[in-house]
Amino acid sequence: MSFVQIESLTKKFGDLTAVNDVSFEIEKGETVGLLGPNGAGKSTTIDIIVGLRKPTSGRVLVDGFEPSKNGLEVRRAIGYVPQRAAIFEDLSVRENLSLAAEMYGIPRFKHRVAEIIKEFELEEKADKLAGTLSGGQKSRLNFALGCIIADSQLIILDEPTVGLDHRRRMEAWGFVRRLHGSGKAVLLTTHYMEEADALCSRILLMDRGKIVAQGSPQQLKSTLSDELVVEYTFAEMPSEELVQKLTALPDVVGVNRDDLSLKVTLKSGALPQVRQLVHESKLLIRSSSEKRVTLDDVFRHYTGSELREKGE
Amino acid sequence: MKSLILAKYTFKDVFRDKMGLLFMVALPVGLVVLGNIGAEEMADRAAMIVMIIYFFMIIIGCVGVGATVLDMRRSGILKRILIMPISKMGFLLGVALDTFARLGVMVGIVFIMMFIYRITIPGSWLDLLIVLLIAVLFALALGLNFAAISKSVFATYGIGIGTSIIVFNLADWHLGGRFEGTMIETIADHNPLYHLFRVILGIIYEGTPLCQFHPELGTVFLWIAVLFLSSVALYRWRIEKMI
Repeated sequence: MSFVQIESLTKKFGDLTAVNDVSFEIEKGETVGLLGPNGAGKSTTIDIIVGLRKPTSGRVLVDGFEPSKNGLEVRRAIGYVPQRAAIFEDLSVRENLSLAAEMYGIPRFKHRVAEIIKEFELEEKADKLAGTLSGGQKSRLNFALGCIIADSQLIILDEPTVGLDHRRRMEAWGFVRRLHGSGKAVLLTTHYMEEADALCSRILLMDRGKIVAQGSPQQLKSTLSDELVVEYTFAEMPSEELVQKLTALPDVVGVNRDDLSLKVTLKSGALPQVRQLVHESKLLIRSSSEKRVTLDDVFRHYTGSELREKGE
Repeated sequence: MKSLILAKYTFKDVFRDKMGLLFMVALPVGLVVLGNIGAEEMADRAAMIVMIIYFFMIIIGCVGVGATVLDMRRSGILKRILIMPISKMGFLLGVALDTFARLGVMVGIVFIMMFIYRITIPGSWLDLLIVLLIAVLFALALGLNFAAISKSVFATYGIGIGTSIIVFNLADWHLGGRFEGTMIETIADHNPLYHLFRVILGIIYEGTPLCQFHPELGTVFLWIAVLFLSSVALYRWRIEKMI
């Protein structure tokens, strides 16, 4: 049985249907991304999973418990990392973590707190007030609080990298990858395509309360096409012979030569052969670019709009 | 148990927030100093000080819990805590315990100051302390309801302060006989602060032991229970709008 089972989940707020007949499952050891713009219904779905909201209809089971009826049992097994660093600024790092550890009833909680402080490299700041931490340290504390239960079965990351700069985002990605490797079920909501692409083993594309597509990032991208376009600009005009050799390759769809540039449309499997032929031509390459199908393209395909535009 | 854990950590904030700590000490000290001016009789002095601090306890109790919950909501801590294994009632109790401890410290300072001023009363100081703490409980139970329905800190302060003043003055005027023979008298009879007033004045002026006020205290405890349960019901109803 899957750790999280959601069947025909619907949540209405008056006339607004925030979540519309959503079904999915999460197994232990997989990182599932709930990808969609603001207002897609991601946070409402999470709130229902943790038992903070009751579904209008449908069924949610977490480890066999219904969150709306057995909220305490469900929440004991869940670690949660919110979007903003929701921390008590007037408590120290250690006190913030101790509060969470005691609330979860962790035995020998001081030992666990020391362990998690070390794991998230917060030793130097352990006894400093959380309000005095830098943005990156607050983000680390935010993650540490979500990971305080060592034996939690499900970690929910609710847009954990919103507002973080590149370096901190990469650090946060490292934490998510570590969680993925620990065998826990991880549910990550995000409106960043590249984040879902890089971190999730499975993605649920959500828009206007509905799941419009789901699968691994590769599967989702291949539903559109596995074609890519490689464009070269050479120092001199490419020869007719090169064009013919490229056109003759079985997985090359088309070759366009325009003065110094060459545009090759191909199935992704043919890329090594194309590169080899270009290399053998001994032409000096001034620039080259590859454009693959991205999750942006997939999202646009299913919803007719840009995720990034809607999300930001 | 979870409520105690929550209160244990949130109460630490008292010693970190310098301005808050200054207020917690300066208010009761200032009130006792002011209360000593203008009253000749010892019992009058005690009554004036206790009534002033009682008035502030009711206001702070009413507003304090609401402000704490709204502050937690704004910082996102409310959601984080509610996702931990604590019931809604447990969470509310935790917030109430924290405010109760803060007000308890203030009441304690008032009592220390009255000992310093060598103020004496015919009744028991312990009885008086217990009544003040019961008054704080009533204020907290009322404040929890305001916290559940208020959408902003401004509204919490407005509703909390406004209601406290009305309820306090109704009790005061009723005690002075202002409503005699009117319809308001029946309503004012059920005002828990009116009963608490009678208990406080009975201890200060007549030295009546607390155990003799069981009908009055029974009414107050009934109010506290009803208000606390109604606040839990309001939170259950409103929680989806608060997170």
